[in-house]
Amino acid sequence: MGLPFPFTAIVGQEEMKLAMTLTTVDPSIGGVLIFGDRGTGKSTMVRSLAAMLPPMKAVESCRYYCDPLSPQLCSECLARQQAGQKLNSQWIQSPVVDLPLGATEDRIVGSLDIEKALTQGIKSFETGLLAKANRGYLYIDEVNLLEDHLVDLLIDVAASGENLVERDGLSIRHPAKFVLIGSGNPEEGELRPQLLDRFGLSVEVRTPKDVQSRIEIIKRRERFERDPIGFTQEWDLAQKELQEKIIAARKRLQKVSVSDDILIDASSLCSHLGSDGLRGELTIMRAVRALAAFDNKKVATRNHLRLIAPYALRHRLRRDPLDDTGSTVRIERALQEVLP
Amino acid sequence: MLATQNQQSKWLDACLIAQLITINPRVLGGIWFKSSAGPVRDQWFTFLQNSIAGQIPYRKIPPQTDELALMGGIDIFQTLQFQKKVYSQGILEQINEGILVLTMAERLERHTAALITQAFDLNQFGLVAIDESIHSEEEQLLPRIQDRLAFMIQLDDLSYKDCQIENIQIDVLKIRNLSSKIEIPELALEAIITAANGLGIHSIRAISFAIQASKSLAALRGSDELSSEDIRTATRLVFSHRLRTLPKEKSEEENISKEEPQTDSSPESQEDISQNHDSSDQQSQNTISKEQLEDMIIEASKAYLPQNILEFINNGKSSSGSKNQEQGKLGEQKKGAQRGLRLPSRQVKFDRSKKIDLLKTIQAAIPWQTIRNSQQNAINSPVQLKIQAQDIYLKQFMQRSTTVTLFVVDASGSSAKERLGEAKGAVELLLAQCYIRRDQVAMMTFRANKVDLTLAPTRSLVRAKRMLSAMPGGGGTPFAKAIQSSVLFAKDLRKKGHTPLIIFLTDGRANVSLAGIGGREQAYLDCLQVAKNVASENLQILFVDTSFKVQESNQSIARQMNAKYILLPQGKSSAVVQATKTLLT
Repeated sequence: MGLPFPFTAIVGQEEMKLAMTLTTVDPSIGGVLIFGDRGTGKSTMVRSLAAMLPPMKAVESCRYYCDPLSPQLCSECLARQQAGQKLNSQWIQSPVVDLPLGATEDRIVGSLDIEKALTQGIKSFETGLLAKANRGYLYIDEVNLLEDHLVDLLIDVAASGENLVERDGLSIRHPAKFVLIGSGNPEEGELRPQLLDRFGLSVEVRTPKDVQSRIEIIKRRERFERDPIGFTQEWDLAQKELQEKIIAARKRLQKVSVSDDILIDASSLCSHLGSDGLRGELTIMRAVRALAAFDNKKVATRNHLRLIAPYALRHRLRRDPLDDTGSTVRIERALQEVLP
Repeated sequence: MLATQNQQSKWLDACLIAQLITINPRVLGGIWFKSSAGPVRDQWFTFLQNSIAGQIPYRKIPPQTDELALMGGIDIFQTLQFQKKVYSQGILEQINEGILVLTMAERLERHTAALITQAFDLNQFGLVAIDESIHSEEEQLLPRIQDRLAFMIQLDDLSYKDCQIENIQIDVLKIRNLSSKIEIPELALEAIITAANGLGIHSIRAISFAIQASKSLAALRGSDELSSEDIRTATRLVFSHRLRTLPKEKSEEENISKEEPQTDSSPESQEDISQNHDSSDQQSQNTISKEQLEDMIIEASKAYLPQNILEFINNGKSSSGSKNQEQGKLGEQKKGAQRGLRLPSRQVKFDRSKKIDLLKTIQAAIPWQTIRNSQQNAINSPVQLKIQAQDIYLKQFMQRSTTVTLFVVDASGSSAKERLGEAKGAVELLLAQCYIRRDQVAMMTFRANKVDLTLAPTRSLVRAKRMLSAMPGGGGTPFAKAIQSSVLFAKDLRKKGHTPLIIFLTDGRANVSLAGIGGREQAYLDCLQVAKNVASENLQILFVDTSFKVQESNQSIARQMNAKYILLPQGKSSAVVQATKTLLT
């Protein structure tokens, strides 16, 4: 497997970069939904994510990468702790897991370890993709084409952060907190509203049309293809800086204050646009806070709100089949009306 | 003479592509090989294999290849036989830096396609996808795979005598190394990108392919510098099938080239300076200006324009357009479903994507235990229960199929506009309401003596809106033909595992016969005749009569084809949707 293209070396696509970065600052924002054509750098962005994420501490040999400092451990770690074993921790890279469209339920949720059951007669749980993505990212390319029964599996887990397995005579629950990244082309199919709602932020990407940025993209690609190691090293500093900025923002996150005024603004914006549910407001609140923290500010401002509102609301507007106005335009109009 | 020359150059290009893909399978992605079986195709593959000559991995797989074979994993059979873990290596891992040939790629399942594209992004290999689809309406190679392949080869109109092959030996690794050292001058890069923009090619991948291909071409010549000829050839091979818009005509081009220097003047002059710095060793480039190179690329890319190019482009039916393309085989083949109604488990060939029914498997194994325990290899085995491959039972499911609602709308005569408007409204309303179910909507229109599939089955509201935005109306009423075509289409849908539902939106009054001749009487008789044949198909049909009062002729047509008949003078969108729902439940 080759080296991934460095995250910071990606030309343009600022919206997508910002949305991704904010979810690393505060994973509870929810996932990121990326809509756009083929060949716009969606896959490159996701593949570059793993190397960009700051490393994290996890319990050694834990299948779910439990956080040793967290009060909630998985059942296996708890059992070890109760048996008096010391839980060693190690630094690992945050997982970024691919969920292929045609994956089976077993591969996603996990199932009875057939091999062990058949050869050794042991009943044990073979973890699925949801377990592997715990504390990291789960990426679904062409999420709008995902089969319904797989969507059902995700919807519940994405909200509760816990995977409940009741199958093959197994009864297991394990943590499965991940940031969902979905990408797709809206022309190929609509997304189920319930799943849409699970995504915190959404972005629309396009290939840059101006020649200069396209040249820059190709040039960087070329340099990367020719000398992946050297190119990655060139961007190492920028990567490190971004990581440190993210770590600093995480620490600052809880100290950032979001005033009632901002919350009122967010509520009136949501009700003006008629977006369903409270999740929109909740996401705005979290995203505004993460943005302020990333921006090295202690107080969230209206400007932060203005910047992030389209990300958080674009996919939550009720679609009127007889109105062609794009969601982004509607939000911008509402922003002007509500927050003059 | 001219035709043969053209064909010969086509064949030479195909051979050149074979060499390029052998040299750099990883960076060039592969070939969309659109050609049916025949001696010409075999000839090409002989050439490919001669070029490869065992220097890189080469594998051929059918589209039904399962996940275990592709990705590798625990080999259940071997594991059971040797009573210890046996892993098999997946084809996609073995093929690293090699060439994978996929036969009947148009039948590729979405699941397999997902695995292949994923492997493309990680391991990387070259894919030769043989697409045997004949009409553009049929299933084609999935667009997302198309986009990842640099070249397209179409050999169907070549005759065998044009296709002579020479046995040329190439040293793959040497040329590959050489090509990776070549640098592309900024001028050429800029020209390629500008030309691509002008041709409507926006995918960054395509540009990257063109650059890589020109480098490989230069290396193939044994040179470590790009020549303008390399670029010309590379863009011809990579761009011509991706063309989206026709490049501007000469006269327009002149106007534009006059304007261009004004807009681009500042960056360009800067680049000229930088060019002088680092391109002292690229004399061949300096003699050509960027505009010349651009024109050259555009000319080269037009080399293989299909004859019906105008129609091709106006319809947006370019290689990567999605007008008539469904996204693979969604909802087909429900037998292999993973959920839904449980059917009794069966002893079938093991396949990793299916679930093993443990209980049944153990039951099947128990009667054999005495025999198996007394066998040689069982004596040292610590396992109590001896299970062998033939015992395995797999769970089987059946899934509800997708309903496709097909609107067949009368676009003839004066009332066409309103009726079309209401039909569009109904399509959009139905889509907006039903994306929770897995249903799809399609639309056919008939007028003059034509029946068109205006909207291929889709779940996407965005797509539907775009397709429905411009629809012509007026002309005669070829109702018989409309019934015939729509039923054919519905049968096709049923074959694919969908449940079709036809809704006719018309005021009847057929006046074009099946043979395409005007005249009410014959047209009506044809309708009745066709309708009679339809009855035996057992389809669900709704006949929405948009006349002002009940038309007996329409009623009898509806009766003949076992359709539900309702009268909706205005054919209001919401009322149509309501009526459809009663039919669905």
